[in-house]
This record gives sequence, C-alpha cells and structure tokens, in this order.
Amino acid sequence: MPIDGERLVIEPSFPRAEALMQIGQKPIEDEGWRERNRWYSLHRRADIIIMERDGKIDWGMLPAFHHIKYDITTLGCSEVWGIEQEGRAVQLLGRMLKHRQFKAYLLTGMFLERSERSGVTYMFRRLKPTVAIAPSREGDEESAGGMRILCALCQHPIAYYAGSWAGAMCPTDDVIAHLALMRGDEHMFWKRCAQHQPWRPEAGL
Amino acid sequence: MVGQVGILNVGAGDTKLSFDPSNREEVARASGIVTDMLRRGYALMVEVGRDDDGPLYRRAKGFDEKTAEYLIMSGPSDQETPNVEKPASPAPRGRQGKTQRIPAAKTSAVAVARSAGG
Repeated sequence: MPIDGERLVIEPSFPRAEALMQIGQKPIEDEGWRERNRWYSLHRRADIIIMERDGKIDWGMLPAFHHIKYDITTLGCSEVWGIEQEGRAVQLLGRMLKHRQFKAYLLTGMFLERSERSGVTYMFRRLKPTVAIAPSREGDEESAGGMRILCALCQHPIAYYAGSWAGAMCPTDDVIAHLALMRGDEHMFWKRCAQHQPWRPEAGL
Repeated sequence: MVGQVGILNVGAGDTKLSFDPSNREEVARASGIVTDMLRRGYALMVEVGRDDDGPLYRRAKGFDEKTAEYLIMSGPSDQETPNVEKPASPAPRGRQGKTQRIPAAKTSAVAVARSAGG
C-alpha cells in the first residue's frame, strides 16, 4: 500500500508494480548527471559517489543515516499493518519454533537458530536484518566471545518502504520468510538477501 | 490432517490454501494456484518431517498438479557435513539427486514471494 511521503519499492514482476511505485512520488528533475562510480569510505563512514555530466566529473558524499531516522519512518509505515494480520503471523511463527525460541521472540523480538547444514547461527529479528554469525577463525583477534558476524541479511518479499525497516508485509511475516528460506534452501536465502556489512547502518546493529 | 499452504502476503495478511481430499474442487483450485506461484518465482518451503528441534523444511522444486504432490529434490548438498571453518557459501552444483514426492494433503508449506530488496 503506498504511503504519502514514503517511497514504496515493489518487486518488478508483480502486476502494475511500476505504476504503484509512482503513486505520490514527485517527478525527479534530470539535470544530466550520471553516476560513474560509488564506494563506501571507512574513513568518512559515508558513500562516495563520482558523477559525470558532459565530460565533467564531480564527486559527492552520502553520509550514513541515523538509526533514529529509520525508526521514526518505520513507525509511520506501521499504518499499513493490522493487528489481526500480525497476530496470525505470530501464531504461524509459534508453530514453526521451539518453545524457547518463541518465548525469546515474544519477549525480545529476536531468536537464534543454528543451521546444521552450514554451521552458521542466525539471529532473526523483528524489523531488522537477520544477522549471520559464525565461529571465529583461528588467530582472529578482533572477534568477541569466539564468534564473528559474517553479515546482516536483508530481504522483503513483495515490497518494502525505502528509508525504513518496514516491509509491506507485517513484521512477523518478514521474519517467517527469512526463517522458512533459511531452513528450506539456505543457498537461496543468501542469494535473495542484500548482504550488509556489520559496520554499515543498514545492518541495523 | 488437511494439508495447507500459508502464503505470506500484504494487506489482509497470510492467505491459506487447503488440500482437503474430500473437496476435489478446492484441491484443484489450490493446485492451480501453487503451480502458478512456482512459475512466478515463489519459493515453497514444504514441511518434510520433524526432529527434536522442530519442523524440517525443504524447498519444492516443482508441483504435480494432477496428483497434488510437491516435488522435492534431494541432492549431494544435503549430505554435506557442516563445515564450521568456512563461511556459508553456495553448495557446488552437481548431479541432480532423487525426486521425493510429498502429497500436499499430508503436509503444510509456507510460500514466500520474490524479494523486492532490502
């Protein structure tokens, strides 16, 4: 459901996806600049963008967003979810989890599950990317407690609201999607997700 | 037990399809929808069993509309022992394993749409 002031991103193969995404969006003035290159600067903690227009090259910096901005936007996007839908999703999740996992999810919004296939432990979180954690490699001095974060895995089936943690589905449905994919086809789970490095704000850490 | 597919959805929330053997029309309708979903790129995670940790899921690679059975492939990657020293990576593609058929009326499944990103 489009929300005034928020950018809805829909998976392109869905019917009328393009038209739905344009609802409420202001037309962008094309001044002729084209992105030539982009990378993340650890030093500046920002994305560096190289742009080009008519042979002239310039650069810009896109600083990392503040976590609270995403949180506030997510609060606004919660208008599209219903309590009933979230309740049904929580019931479905409860049938998929062990008691301790479900209790942890109800009380903290997170739970852990280790994949027997890969040995990776996943921290599934409501309204945040799933964190993939693995045992430290020998000699890895930076890891804490013998574990290291591989990355944060983020995906929203159907659609999501840019600039927020919100998917178009209710929060627990997003968690179920992650969990079901991880259990059923871990390879596809990693392939479908955006993999955010743990120090990026997009990882939600 | 009546087999069900929970389709994760927006708006009104999860949609359920049921494969009740006593209702052939419903089974035919649900079979058509499952076939269409797979064609559109939905991932269907089928419960293939349970262990001490809970339900075990495998992705359905196909669906036989005539017999209303999920087609689950078991391949070499399924017998791979966990290697905790390597980060998770795609399993090497090898020969296709055997196809396991699971009646939709006897199990539950979760359908996950294609991702819009994240």
